[in-house]
Amino acid sequence: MTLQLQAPSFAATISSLASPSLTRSTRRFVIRVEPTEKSVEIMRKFSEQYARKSGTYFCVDKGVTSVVIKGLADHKDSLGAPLCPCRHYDDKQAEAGQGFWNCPCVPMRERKECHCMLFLTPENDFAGKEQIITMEEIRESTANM
Amino acid sequence: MALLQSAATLSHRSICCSTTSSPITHSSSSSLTASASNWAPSNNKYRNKNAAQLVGFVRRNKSFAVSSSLDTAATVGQVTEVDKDTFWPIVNAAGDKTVVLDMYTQWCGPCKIIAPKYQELSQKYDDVIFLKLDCNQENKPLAKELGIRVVPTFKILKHDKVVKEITGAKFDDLVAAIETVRTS
Repeated sequence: MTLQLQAPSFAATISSLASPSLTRSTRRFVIRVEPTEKSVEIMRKFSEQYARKSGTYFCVDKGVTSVVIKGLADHKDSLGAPLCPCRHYDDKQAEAGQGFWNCPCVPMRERKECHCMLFLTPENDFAGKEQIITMEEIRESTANM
Repeated sequence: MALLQSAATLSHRSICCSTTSSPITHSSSSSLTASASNWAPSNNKYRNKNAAQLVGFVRRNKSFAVSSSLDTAATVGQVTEVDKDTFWPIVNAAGDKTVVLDMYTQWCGPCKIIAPKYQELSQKYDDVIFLKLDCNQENKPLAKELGIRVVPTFKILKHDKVVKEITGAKFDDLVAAIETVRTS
């Protein structure tokens, strides 16, 4: 069962999951929040610009790029800043205010290290040849998430 | 995702950083009673009215389920989603089995890359329990208890303790760590 709720800022999907129990079945409801299209577009453009500027490339699988862009957009919506979605924080608001892990994070700026695999140096095995990603690509590759 | 196939052909490459060991002992308030005598602990250490039960079908079906009173089950041969309430009961009920936990977040790219390979591992190692935890706001207490900074992080547990940790989507390191712990 999936319910789709549309709100001014967020689109939330509630899906039910059946527990893989061998005894009784249980349903858990998980709320997945989607970032706004506006923020996704902002982070998409930022990603393209920064890839060009830094001489890095998107992953050979644009699905990875799409997921990270959405993660950045999600943090931009909720925190006001694109905090790295591939780290865990005790206090996200404080981290966003501090700035170290706001994309582009300090490791990326200083050493071109992006463990999110958003910006990949040409010698990286997973680097593709593109510095472009369209909204359509992002939508398609994250449609089933 | 296309990389599901290309990741397999690219073989097992590391994607991210360091490996550390961080033993953490958990004193669980939840206890269990084993109903199958061949899996029962030798002492009465784990006994509670809200006890978990061990159900085994190891030899014939190559399927082993660990269930808890919270009505979730971790079955070998697949990856089981856990949360802050179900994780430790399942770990406690695992007995001598190695438990691997994939700590991921919703919008982490490397997590999506390694997920299908993690699934394959669960099918390959039928003597290991594979779990995954969405490190969202709801599960934050557990994520904090276990300790995580880099996403994904893999915790390997044995006898209710974290014995190894892999930070980042480093598949080769994860496999090596699982091999080490399960044979120890």
